[in-house]
Amino acid sequence: MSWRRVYAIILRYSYGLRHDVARLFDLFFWPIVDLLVWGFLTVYLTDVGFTLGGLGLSWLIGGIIFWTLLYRSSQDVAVQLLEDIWARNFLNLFASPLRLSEFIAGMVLVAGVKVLITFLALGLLAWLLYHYQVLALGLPLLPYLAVLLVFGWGMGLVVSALIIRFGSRLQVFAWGAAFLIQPISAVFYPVEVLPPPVQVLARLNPPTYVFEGMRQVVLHGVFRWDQWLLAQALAFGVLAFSIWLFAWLFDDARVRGMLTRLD
Amino acid sequence: MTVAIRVKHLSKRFGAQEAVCDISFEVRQGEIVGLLGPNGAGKTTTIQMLLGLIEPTAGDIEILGWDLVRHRTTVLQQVNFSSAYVSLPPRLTVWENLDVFARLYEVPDHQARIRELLEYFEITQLRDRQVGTLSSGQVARVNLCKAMLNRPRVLFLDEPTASLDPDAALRARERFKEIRAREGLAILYTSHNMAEIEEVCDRVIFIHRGRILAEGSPLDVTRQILGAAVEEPDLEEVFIHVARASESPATAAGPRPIQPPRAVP
Repeated sequence: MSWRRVYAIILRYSYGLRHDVARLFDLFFWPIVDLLVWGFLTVYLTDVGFTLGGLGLSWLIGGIIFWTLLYRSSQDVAVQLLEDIWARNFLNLFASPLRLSEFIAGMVLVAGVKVLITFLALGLLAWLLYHYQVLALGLPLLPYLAVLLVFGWGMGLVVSALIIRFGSRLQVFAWGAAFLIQPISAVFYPVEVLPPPVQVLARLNPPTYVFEGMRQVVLHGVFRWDQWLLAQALAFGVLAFSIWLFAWLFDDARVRGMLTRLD
Repeated sequence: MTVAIRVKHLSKRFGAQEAVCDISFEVRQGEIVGLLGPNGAGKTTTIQMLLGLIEPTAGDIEILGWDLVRHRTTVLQQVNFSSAYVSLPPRLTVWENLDVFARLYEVPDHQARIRELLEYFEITQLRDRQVGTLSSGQVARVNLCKAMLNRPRVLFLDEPTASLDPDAALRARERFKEIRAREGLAILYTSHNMAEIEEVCDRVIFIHRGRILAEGSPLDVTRQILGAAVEEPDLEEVFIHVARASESPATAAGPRPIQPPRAVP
């Protein structure tokens, strides 16, 4: 792997961000709109005396911030790929010495940095507007962030692989794929409220352990290493599968001549 | 002269459709070879196989002595391409685009190389303009800068002048010839402008329905298809003849039957 070529991909997407208002909206505007909606809902529910037990209503704000981290991580990877398809630049990239591993590494690294920027912006705004301290979770915050980031990359790569194989008619999933798993991610409610068969699915879904685990930290001050390790292993499993799928469908697209017909 | 591109028994099948069928040819270093044929003849598929973007069904591709499949990265470091149908990201500036590609090709002292190319193609003043704001002629020149970044030894030009006005196209052709003379690189060139092919190419390969119909100098190819009595190259007439003959073998003009593909030595 050439890190110079990885850096070239990082630059390609960073330069794009500098000039593209739509991507800045993805980075800041939509996440902030979500935060404001959930933040004001929290304020209202607090005013009318609604409670969530020991969890505190501010959990809703935490939930939306961490959920944003997940869906942005997935979205960024896939939308970056789409940018090169829309720009008809895809062939320029792959007619160069660029290796698939270098392309993937560049894409996920840029997506990671962008997501962390969004996370910090939301954290700061939540503190300023609602006095919600995202860092109050303490050290457990970092391993949980890692699970969400890695799982988001995996989802983004699965969507990217499908777009390469089946074309940009699947581009809607670049924005919406993460929302398909939101109901079984236990973002705003405990996994026990789901019907038992769905709970089984939820337990296979790494973000479930993150949101459940964070509630445990807030309620009981307990960080469950075993649950986190399971979540991280599942997330890396998804990432490994997504890389394999991407490479496989990329090769398949080369065989079928689809790579040169992407638009 | 050294062989830059060697293609042996190359075929590509998409399901039941045979896009390229058992073609073999060579391009020598310092040579400009035109790849001609009607729409759907298999030119672009061939170039895309030579760039590793489409996997052949059968056959071997050797570029600069390296097998493309086994040494893809090594080969592509010494090859580049420009196509009228492939673009650079429109929101990035000219400089940013060239910066990205120079790094992808691991060009040494890449900033100096970019400045040199911008000057050579007379677009230094456009360096901070977004590519999406440029005219098609300017974009074509940026594409050519990108194609020359790594000082390629083999260059694929897929209809490089398709979007240019006659003056810009003339200048581009002059540049190709100049670059070939200066750098001694091998160029495989496709175009639907037959006068352009006659002017630029040393040799042409005429493809029809995925097979090589004729190969040689523009005059040789004209004679192979229109008859030995022809004294001047007339690829346009060849092109029209082949295209019409394939549409209808018995038109009023009564074109000669297309010769069967001949084996390339």
